[in-house]
Amino acid sequence: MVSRRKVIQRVLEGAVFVGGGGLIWGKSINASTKADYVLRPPGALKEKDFLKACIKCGQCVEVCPYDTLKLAEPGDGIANGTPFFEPRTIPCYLCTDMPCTDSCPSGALDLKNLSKEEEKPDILNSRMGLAVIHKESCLAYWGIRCEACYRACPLIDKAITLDYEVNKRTGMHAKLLPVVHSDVCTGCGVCEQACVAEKAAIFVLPLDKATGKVGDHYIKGWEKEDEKRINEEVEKADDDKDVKSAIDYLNDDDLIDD
Amino acid sequence: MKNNKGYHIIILFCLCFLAVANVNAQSDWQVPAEENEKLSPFLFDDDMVLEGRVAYENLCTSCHGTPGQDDFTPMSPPPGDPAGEQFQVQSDGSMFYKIKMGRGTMPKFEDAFEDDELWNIVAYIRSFNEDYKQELPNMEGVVIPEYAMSLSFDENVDKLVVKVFAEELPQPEVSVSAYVMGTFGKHLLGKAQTNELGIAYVDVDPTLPGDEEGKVNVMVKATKEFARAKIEKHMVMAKPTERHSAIEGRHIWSTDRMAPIWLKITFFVSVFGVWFALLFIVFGLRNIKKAREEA
Amino acid sequence: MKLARRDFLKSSAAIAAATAVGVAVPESLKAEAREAESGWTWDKAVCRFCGTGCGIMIATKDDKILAVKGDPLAPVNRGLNCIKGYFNAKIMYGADRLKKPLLRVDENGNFSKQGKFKAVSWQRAFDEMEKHMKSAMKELGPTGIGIFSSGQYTIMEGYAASKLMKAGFRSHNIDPNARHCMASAVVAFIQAFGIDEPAGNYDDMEITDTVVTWGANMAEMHPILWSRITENKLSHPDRTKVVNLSTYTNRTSDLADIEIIFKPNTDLAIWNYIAHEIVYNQPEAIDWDFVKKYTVFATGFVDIGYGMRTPDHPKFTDKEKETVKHEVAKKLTADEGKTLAYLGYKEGDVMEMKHRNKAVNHWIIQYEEFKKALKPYDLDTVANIAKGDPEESIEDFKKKLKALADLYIEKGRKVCSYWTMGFNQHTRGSWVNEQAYMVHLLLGKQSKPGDGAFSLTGQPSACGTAREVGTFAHRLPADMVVANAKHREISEKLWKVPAGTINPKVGSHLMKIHRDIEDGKIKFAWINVCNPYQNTANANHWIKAARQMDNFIVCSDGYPGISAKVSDLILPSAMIYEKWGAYGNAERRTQHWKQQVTPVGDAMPDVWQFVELAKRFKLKEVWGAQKVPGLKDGLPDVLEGAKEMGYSPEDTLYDVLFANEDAKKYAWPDPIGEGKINTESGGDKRKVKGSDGKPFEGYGFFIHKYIWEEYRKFGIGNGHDLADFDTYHHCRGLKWPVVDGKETLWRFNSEYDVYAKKADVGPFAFYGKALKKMPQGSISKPDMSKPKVDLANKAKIFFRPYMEAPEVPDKEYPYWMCTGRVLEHWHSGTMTMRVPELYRAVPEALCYIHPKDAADQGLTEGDLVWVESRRGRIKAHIETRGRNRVPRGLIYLPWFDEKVFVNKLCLDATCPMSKETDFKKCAVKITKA
Repeated sequence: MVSRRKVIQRVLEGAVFVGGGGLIWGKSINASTKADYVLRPPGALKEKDFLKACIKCGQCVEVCPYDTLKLAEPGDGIANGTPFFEPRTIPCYLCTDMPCTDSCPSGALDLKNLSKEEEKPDILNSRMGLAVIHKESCLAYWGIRCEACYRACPLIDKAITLDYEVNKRTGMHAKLLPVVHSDVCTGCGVCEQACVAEKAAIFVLPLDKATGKVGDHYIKGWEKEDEKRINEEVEKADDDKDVKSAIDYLNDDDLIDD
Repeated sequence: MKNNKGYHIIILFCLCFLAVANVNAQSDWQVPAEENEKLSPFLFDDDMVLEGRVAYENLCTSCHGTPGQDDFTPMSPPPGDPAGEQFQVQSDGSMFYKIKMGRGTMPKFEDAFEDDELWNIVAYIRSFNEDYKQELPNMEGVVIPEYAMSLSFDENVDKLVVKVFAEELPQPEVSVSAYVMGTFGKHLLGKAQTNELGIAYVDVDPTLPGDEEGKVNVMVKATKEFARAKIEKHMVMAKPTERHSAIEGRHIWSTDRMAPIWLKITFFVSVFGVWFALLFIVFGLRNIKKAREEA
Repeated sequence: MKLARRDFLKSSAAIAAATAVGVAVPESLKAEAREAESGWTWDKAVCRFCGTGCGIMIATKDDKILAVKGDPLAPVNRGLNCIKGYFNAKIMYGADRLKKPLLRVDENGNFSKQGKFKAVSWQRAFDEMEKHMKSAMKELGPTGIGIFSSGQYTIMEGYAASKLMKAGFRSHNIDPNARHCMASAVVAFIQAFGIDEPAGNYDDMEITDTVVTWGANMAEMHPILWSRITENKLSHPDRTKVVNLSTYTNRTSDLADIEIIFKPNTDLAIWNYIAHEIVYNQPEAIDWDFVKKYTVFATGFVDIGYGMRTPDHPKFTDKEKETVKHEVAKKLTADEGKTLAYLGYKEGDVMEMKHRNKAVNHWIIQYEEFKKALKPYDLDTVANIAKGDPEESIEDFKKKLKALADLYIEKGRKVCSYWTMGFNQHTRGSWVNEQAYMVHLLLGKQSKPGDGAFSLTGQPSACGTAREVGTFAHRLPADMVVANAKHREISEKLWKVPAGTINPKVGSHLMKIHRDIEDGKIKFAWINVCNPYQNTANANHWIKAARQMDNFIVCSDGYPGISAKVSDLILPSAMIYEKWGAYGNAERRTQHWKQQVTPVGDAMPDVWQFVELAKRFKLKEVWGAQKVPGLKDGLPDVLEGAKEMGYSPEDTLYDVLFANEDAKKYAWPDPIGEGKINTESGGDKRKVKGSDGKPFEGYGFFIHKYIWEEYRKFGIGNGHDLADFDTYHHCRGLKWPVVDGKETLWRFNSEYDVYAKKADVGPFAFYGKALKKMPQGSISKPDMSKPKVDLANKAKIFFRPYMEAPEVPDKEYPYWMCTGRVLEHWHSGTMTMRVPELYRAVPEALCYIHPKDAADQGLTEGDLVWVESRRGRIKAHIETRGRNRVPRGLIYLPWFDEKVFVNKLCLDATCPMSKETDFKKCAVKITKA
């Protein structure tokens, strides 16, 4: 015969445990998805949708011929069990038959994301991230003949091209400077791996961290194409929403100090 | 009752019709005249019969049964026993054509066999006919070269080098087939044709397993029109493999060697321990008995 | 206030920068090492890698290399490097650096070819070397031994090896890997000008208006020179034109205004088209004053074979014989029928190679015959012969060829032609080199600032060491040759050896050393500073010969490469900054450096290795009478002569060649070496147990300076003048000839070259002395009844026809295979593959193939394939998207990767004149692996 006191005690203990456990669980989930950044396999949905769709089956990891992908473990700072890659270790080599995207059963990786309009899926349409160059640690910008990233890039002369610049210090050499083109770069990271600096001077960041956005109220006058950006859904400015604050301000008699 | 009988008559009629139709169909397989006249360029010797037998037993027995035993599969039309009159009365060329081109349920073996392999089967079928005398084609004016073959292995490019000569002259455009002979039959390595120097190259898979020295038994056949030759050689061409017996190290009499020392000690200690305990009990009982007797 | 290290670095870097731009250098900033308060010093040196010859500076402290920087005062690079040079500090410290001598031994510790490598002492190593050398020499005479020498030897090492081999052992079986690299260029220099090495210098790259690269991927292979050319183009975008001729699209094409993709071997046809365009369509472009005064026309035989062995050689497999049969006779193709019609040949004729042994013979012809021979090379014919990209239209190709010719011809336009391996590694390499001179000489665009044909050297010292010191089977120092009795006499005098010591018979060149080992004619071979078992075509043969036959192969190297693996004895060798040395780069700039650090482990410098070996041989063992195959009466006994010179038969080669009275005059320590180690001269802190089992404490004299000063004597006064030892340590190298302390910028030009001025025949003088008395003849053969012509101060304009390569793609082997390099790796990768960053940047050699060719065979990007030729097969991953874009029907494979052993596939056909292997053309097939 269990006393009532005991029952109430037990219920309270239970509540504390469950509640406490829930708080800890919630915190750990937050922590695990609070990663600095993560690079997903080609054809991945946007990160929020990806996390919902990925069933952590590991098929993409299994099928990658280069062992590029790995599944996140607790402590990585990435949602547990989801696939990602670190280009500096093993980059994505842009297989033309996209075995990883093809193998995803849940649609977290979707071949449709690799197809433009009515065309067939093409690995070169992937946008896993964007390569960014830190000029001060890039040997080419010192004037050294490097450009290892340029020569390693699978989209040489398209995603990375060379700009030539006279080396003003010597006056008789030129600098061969790698430049990344964000409209072509797939974010595969072969460049990051090839970089011979101690810490890679060219590295892949997720698109949202590496790109900006220009407001649509200003159009480039020298490029007819740019008119496409005009947004016709502009907020009207002729409503009476905030007339009151203007009147309040005008009535505030505080200009002359008493 | 009357209806049943009617049905019986109809069924019987249909069956008869079918039987007749089948027989008719069977006898109607005509072979074009020039094919009928075709003769084997090769003399049906024991080798051919043996080869033909292997091919027959793999591919023909399922329908035609064993020749001479009339155990062919009851099909419609019936395949028939090749040793029987129906087959033997036909010409060599006719048999050759029918095996090659097939008809209806009889498959077409044109793609499965080269011409000389088809003649092997004909030779085998003929071997059941004691009265058969092979008609050979008119060989007047035809000089059949006697081939001398040599084999070597080019390890740089993993190729078997087959040279076909006749009287020291290289023989071009000779078809060669190379096999590796194993315990249970032969494995086809590949087929090639000799070039103008009389040399044919057959690719060899470098992972092919050989004996401890990497040797295999290679057999190569060469044919061109009427000429044929064969050569066998035990030569290095493969990966040396050490063949371990499946039960090596697992014989009961070898476990002693494999057992770790701690196991041996534990085992002996346990055995002696148990015996010691048993003997202790036995002696104890004896002592009790003795004590009881004394008491 | 104590200067923090960072501040010091910054300030010294600032000073260096100011210096480079031309700000006046304060007296305190000279080229000597500087003691900083923090205890590390900078000292000047050169980059270990390519023929560009960039200057670097090395920071050392406590016998360790801390860092490297580009030398801001070096005229070549002004403080810049490429990423190979960037890692100069790391190349000596790879994880598997060889530190102890290794010998193949059986369980009892006796040498056995089937044995495994075990560490042994230096004494044991030299004992084994002595034993096997003497046994080989006893059995086969001086031709029974061989040395694989190198264009990466320091000048001192090359000289020591050459002297020991030629004056000591009386053998000329010493030949460098430069045979695979520059031999065709050398033959062309000697035949056309009578003297080796380019006339111009790197300053041409800033001055010229036109840069034409022929078979030279300068963007990747001469990176700093390419950045100089790029600067020229950037500064004069409309005037400067860059043309890239190649058999595939490479990084050099990026800057080029015109890219010409030609079919392999058809460079011969394209030069003749340019000459045809000049001679027939724009003859006013010919500088007749120049041509009449300074040149003659010449030609040679065409039925000279392809440098292969004849098909009856027992070691050929049947598959190989399919190609080798062309060495005795070849059916002429349709194209050859047109280009060889001038000799009476037509398509389908079988050309018998009757003049295989007279390939270098040439004679003077008249201009009319020269012109007639050029007739078939009109634009249509040549475009059809030469178009290399099946997907390019013939009209586009013709436009490009015409534009190229017009650039050469344009009056007042300065043109420089640059080439490297595409020209030299060619079965008609000597011919195509000569064709470059043909056009430049016809137009009078040679030996002038911004005008000239410039043969780019690949290795850091193929010029300085191999060619200038003469570490070749047929050469002596300063362009002298073994076959010339007068040259031998001069050398014997300078080497202070008795008359008749030097063998008059030319030795075995590099390919022949391999072939001789396979034939059992050489039983002892020593590999120095090269990787002949990875770098030689048709590798299966040579590796089997080394491993399976009765011989003894020694390898001196820093790292365990394929050659070390194949050898019987491995000697750990000091690498570049672990020894005093000097290199000579492609523009004739000789640069010296001092030893910066002690070698690792028990590694010893190569000079020490030669000198110690010399101690094991007494004069009576090597200077007696010797039988030499092919030399009637053999080599004479020179011991009597030796006695007259004051030597005793019991003296060792060490006493006579290296530790003689002259040598001992150069004391160590020497002021120039203050504060620096010198392992050979003074020993080092390791006190390595040397060849006598005792700790090595140095020879006691400055052996490097002695070698330099003796070597100098060969060149003084005959156009090869070098400055004295100390001078080179005070400057950033000097371009020889260095006369009265001044270097020579443009040779053969009286305004810049003291020797040309002395010749006093006008504004130019091609004063080279070799091959300047030549017979006359017709276009097809020499006429020995006519008297020989004296060609003093003249150069030769050669007519050479187009011929095809001996192995071309066919149905069974449908692809051309071209081989080459990548910027990130040097040669066989023994050094750069051990730098983790460079390895990570390019970890493996890929097979570059056209994406449609791959698709037709059912292959996808990255697939593993078998690449197979008649001589071997290897596996590689394919690349359809990389830095090199090949046309359909051709594949490209770099050779830096041991794991993708390209030379198993290559054909060992050579230019019959230069004996240089054609690594750029053979036929292969591709199958999925």
